[in-house]
Amino acid sequence: MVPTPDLAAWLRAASSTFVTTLSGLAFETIPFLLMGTLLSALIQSFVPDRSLRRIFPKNRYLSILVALVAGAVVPICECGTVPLARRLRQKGLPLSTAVAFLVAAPLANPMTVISTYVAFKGTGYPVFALRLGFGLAAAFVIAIAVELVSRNRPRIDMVGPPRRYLRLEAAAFPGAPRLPAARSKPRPGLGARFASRIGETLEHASYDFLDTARYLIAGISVAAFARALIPAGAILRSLGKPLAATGTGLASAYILSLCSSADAFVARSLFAPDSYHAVLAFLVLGPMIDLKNTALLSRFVRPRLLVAFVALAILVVGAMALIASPLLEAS
Amino acid sequence: MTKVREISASRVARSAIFLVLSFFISWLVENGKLSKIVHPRMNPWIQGAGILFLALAFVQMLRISKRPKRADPASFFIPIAYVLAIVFIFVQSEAFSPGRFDAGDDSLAVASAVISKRDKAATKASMGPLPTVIAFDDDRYWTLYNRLYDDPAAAQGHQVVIQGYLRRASGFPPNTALIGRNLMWCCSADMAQIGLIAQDPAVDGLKDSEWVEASGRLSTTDFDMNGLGKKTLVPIIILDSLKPVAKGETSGVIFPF
Repeated sequence: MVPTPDLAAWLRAASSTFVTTLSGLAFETIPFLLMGTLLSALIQSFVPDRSLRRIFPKNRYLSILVALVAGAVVPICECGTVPLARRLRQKGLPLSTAVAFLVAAPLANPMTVISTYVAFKGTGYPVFALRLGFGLAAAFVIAIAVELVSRNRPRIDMVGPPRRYLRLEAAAFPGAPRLPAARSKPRPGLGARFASRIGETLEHASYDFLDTARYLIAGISVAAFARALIPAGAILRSLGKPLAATGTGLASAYILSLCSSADAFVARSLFAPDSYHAVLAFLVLGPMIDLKNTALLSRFVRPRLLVAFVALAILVVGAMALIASPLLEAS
Repeated sequence: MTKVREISASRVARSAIFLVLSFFISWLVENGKLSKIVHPRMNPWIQGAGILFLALAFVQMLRISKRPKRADPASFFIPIAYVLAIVFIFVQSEAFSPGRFDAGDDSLAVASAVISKRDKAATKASMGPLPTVIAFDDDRYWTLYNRLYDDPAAAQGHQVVIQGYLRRASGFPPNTALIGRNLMWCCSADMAQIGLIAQDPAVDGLKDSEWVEASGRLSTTDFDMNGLGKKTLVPIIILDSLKPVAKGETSGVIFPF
């Protein structure tokens, strides 16, 4: 069958968008994924479980707050934080703490804050402060909701050996179910231990990177395909009433799958800065969850947690944008 | 009798894929093709990743006879090979545009002009009065673009010379094209085409995505930027000449920050 000129032109344009988007997203995310898997492997090999538990308070809610602060100082985007959050969970931190870190790190890291400030400079709206404030508030709410939803439901958790999580968690955090302690092994000398740990770190990083990259690439491909099929103009046209504008912001953030360190510039060009509903929804949801991250998370979290997390993120951010925007417009 | 050491296929495959990743990044950097994919501020991260990939390949080679706990499935390697193939095609061709670029549909291209609706005074102050002949060069492209879209009427009648890709959008009126370059904030996924609209029968005689030089006189027209039905005054070139030229060292990508 010979395609009609219109169809041929459409196919050419769509494939062009697919190739351009996929190339950009791949090279933007791969260094951060590698860094995330390396940091995760370093924590696994060099940070004893007890050290992490000393940093995070025993009170689960205070532990969430510490995770939010930790997220603000780790300079990596959402792709890198996923393996890191899973490692924190494997080290025995509560699920809610790991989720708080997962959500807060891409939103509150220095690169995101600075780029948001630069992108909206001169507009007269403190968008970077709004993004940081609402983002951290949403992260706190989502982490607490995950805590409540996952209590006594082991299927709502991250992927890995749950007994080990629970044992570590039980040792440090009151209220968790008690399980028998693991058998300890005799430890070799310091030099041999260090060399072995370096090897172990790079081995973990190699495996984790290859294992994770396929999910990330699947997510990127779906995002690129969606962008090739769904014209941005179609999304923008739905801007208007608050509910539609919020939905537009949420949908754009989820489909475009942009890096949190640059999405503020795109938000500035996509929406008028005073479209608070759309701008807030776009800037807060994007770093938390999007198409590429959904695929990436599917490797690290159990399906029920993934569904709960995506639903909570969309609901909390959507509600926040709807509630906050009229207040901002009035001020 | 010498004992023959068994080589692990997974280790060989891991070494190979890490080496390919490392050399591919080096090749992109060496040939200046990285800036077509990501913003230069990302270069240290990507080059660092290239070095790390090399280190990981080295570690896998050292352990080549030690089998990993589990054999790696093919799905560890095929997706990376597929991405590298697509990126290779992308950097080797000029034909790929940043968006579908259908005017009145999803042209982020001209929509980026929304950005220029702020900071007008700062843009104006940074340049001083507009020159009689406005020549778009690599360094001043973003500033000039902002200046013209901020106040199209002020530039009316000025001579202009611009080099860029010629893009025809499906929703454009006949004999209309955009001559412009790719604006990149972070990577090619967020690129948008920015430039000047040219209306002349000559534009239909040239291929899409061709690198051209246009010169002429600036005028203004009402244009529906986002396809939302709201027309905005934008600059337009009344062409004196339009010809394909060699791209040379001229950058096809503009980095505003």
